[in-house]
Amino acid sequence: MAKSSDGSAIEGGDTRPTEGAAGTVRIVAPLTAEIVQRAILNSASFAIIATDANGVIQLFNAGAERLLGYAASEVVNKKTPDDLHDPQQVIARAQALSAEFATAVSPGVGALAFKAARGIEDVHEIDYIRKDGSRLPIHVTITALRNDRNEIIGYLKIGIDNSNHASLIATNREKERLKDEFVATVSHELRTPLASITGALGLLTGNPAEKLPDSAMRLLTIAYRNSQRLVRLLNDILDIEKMESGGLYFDFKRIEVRSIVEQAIEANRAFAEGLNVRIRLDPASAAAEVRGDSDRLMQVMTNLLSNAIKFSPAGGEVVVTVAPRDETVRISVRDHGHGIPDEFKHHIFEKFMQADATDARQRGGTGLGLSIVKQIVNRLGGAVSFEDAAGGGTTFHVDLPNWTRAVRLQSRFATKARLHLLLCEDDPEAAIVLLDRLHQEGFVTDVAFTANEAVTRVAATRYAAILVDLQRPQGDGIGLIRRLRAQPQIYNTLIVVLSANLSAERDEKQPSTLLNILDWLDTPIDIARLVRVIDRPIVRDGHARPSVLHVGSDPELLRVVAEALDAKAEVLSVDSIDEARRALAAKRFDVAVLDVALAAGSGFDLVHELKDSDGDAIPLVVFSPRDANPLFAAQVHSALIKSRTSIDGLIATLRKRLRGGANDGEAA
Amino acid sequence: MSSCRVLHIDDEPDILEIVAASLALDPEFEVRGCSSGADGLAAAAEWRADLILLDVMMPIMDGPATLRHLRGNPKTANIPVVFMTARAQSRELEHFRSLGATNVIVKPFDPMTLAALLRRQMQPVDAG
Repeated sequence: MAKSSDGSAIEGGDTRPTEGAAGTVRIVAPLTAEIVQRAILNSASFAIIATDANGVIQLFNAGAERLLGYAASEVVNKKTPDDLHDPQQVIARAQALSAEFATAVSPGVGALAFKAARGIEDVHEIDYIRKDGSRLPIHVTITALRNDRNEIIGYLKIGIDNSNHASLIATNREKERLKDEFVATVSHELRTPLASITGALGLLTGNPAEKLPDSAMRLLTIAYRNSQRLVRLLNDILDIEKMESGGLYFDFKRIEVRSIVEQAIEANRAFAEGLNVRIRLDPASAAAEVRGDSDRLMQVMTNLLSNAIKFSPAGGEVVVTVAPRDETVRISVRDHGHGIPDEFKHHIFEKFMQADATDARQRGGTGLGLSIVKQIVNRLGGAVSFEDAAGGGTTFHVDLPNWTRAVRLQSRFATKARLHLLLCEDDPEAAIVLLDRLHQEGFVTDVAFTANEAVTRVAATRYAAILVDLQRPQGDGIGLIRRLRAQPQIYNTLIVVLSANLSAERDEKQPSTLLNILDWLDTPIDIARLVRVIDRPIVRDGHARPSVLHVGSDPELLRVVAEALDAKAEVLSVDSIDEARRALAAKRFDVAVLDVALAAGSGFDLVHELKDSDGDAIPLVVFSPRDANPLFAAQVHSALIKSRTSIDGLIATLRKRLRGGANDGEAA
Repeated sequence: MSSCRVLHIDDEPDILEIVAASLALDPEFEVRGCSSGADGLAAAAEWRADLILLDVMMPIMDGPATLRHLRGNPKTANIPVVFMTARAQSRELEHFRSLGATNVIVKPFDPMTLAALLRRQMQPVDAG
């Protein structure tokens, strides 16, 4: 242990009594944890608030008193931390946590302690509301306090005054906004006089009827060419500004790259010919699809092509190649120019960077082209690069994720309009796997472990879809579906039937047969309820009258159903499984009505053949006897869950079914 | 000889003149210029135009407001209207089209091809 000249220990925090230089025994290490803690606690700079496990404040330090304006005696044992916040912010915090953890977090003390209780460091920015009602932005850290047995006995919140930082951010944001607005306005305002200038010069230089002396014509041509360059510069500046402020709008669609490249080549052909440069598409180029904005890709190509043309020697050639690769599509533009000087290679994508500025300006460049290319390509999810071409010149490569990859990436990010799901599952193990995956896919999912919980949740929240595990050991899934469907608020909600052994791997050979149970009706049938079921918008797929396939054995019931639905739907009634199969092969149905009295036993396999041409399950209404014996019920049950499906299949189904009908679940 | 009567409404006198000169390259065009939305409406009501070329940003009554008035008057409701604007972002262009304009021309425009461009827009619009 090192000792300072007076012999006291200064390192290691050793607190044992030590022999001092004078031979007397004394306590040499004053820096005990307790002392440090007391100093921190008494600091007036941090608001330190500790609560018990229920969130009731037990400790309120001097800093908290100073920052919040309460005396400790006013809050200890009297208030919880959420009393010190703006309720709106607590709600927003709960919502953010709900989204992050794919589970419902209710606003209140629970939301503030949610992460800490799970052992996750919780650092965030929020406001305190002072005693006088004013607002104090703070940077807060929340930690769980645990006893020796690792049980949570309370929470510790350390808040640091964040008002300087918060106001700085607000000021910067406002500055940014004003700057963006200024640039946009200036660009727009400049266009109007430019329109007059280029218009007038264009008329003078372009109209053969204007008989002007050669010298005047030459000067006017210079003026016209430069006015056009000014227009391009303005457009580029505006684009750069929009991209940097995130305001540039991209209309993402599935687009075919080669045809856009061909268009870009055509659009630049006249420019190339004017400089005596040939431009062509490599015939080896293949068709390839990407997810992108065709106008923006055209802009990328135009910038790359005009650069390549500008820097080609007279008589040179520019060759464009489109080559699909594993998960990307590569567009290459090769020129035969001087190549890019080594010292300039690091700066090539920077704004207003031109290797030979005089040369480039003479050729009408703005110095913004490659910077725009890079920004657009980045926004398209791709990358731009360049290399020295063999035999001289440069090749620029644009690599874009191909269509299938882009869709896969996108599904991860398409979480802005998060859909709210309810999972009815009594096995937490099974629930966890599914919840994790649904969260990754951008759904917010609540779990109901019991039927009663499911019914309560459905009454309180509008869900986009409800997932029911039919293998629920507690009470039956079918009973739950009946109870849920009896609730008016989920009249139009998709109910998807799951079996707990949902496999995590995709099984290509076994396409998804997720059942969408529209309703489960007891015989004798409540006809009015059936009509209401068929009348739901969810059963219709674009056309006004749904087509219904009714498979049953009772001719009386088939006729009654056909007549009852006549006004609402096209009904095809069949009384055998074989006839049903023929009908399914010939026509697309929006709803299937299945009488299990006919279909019990092996005939119930028909359930898994109720698919449309896309392989999606046709929404199903089941008729079953009210007093079916348990054996029969078990048979039906096992037939329903026979379908082995994958989580991927479930997610694909949800996406597809909820795309058009999201409002059914989201509108409150 | 097909009639190509264009009513041009723009508060910039220079643009009025440039457009008149560029459309004069095509002898079939007849152009009348107005420097405000109100003047434009009055002219449109008494002079039967085949097409109205309308500036978007004008003081007092801007292009969209003028367009609404034109569409509201049975006499002018079916005349195709082409906006001319300095706002060139694709989203803005879409917005102008959604207001009911037949097309949108971005300033600066090419004076040599303006007449041909306008010719292609001269189908009467369905007022419904």
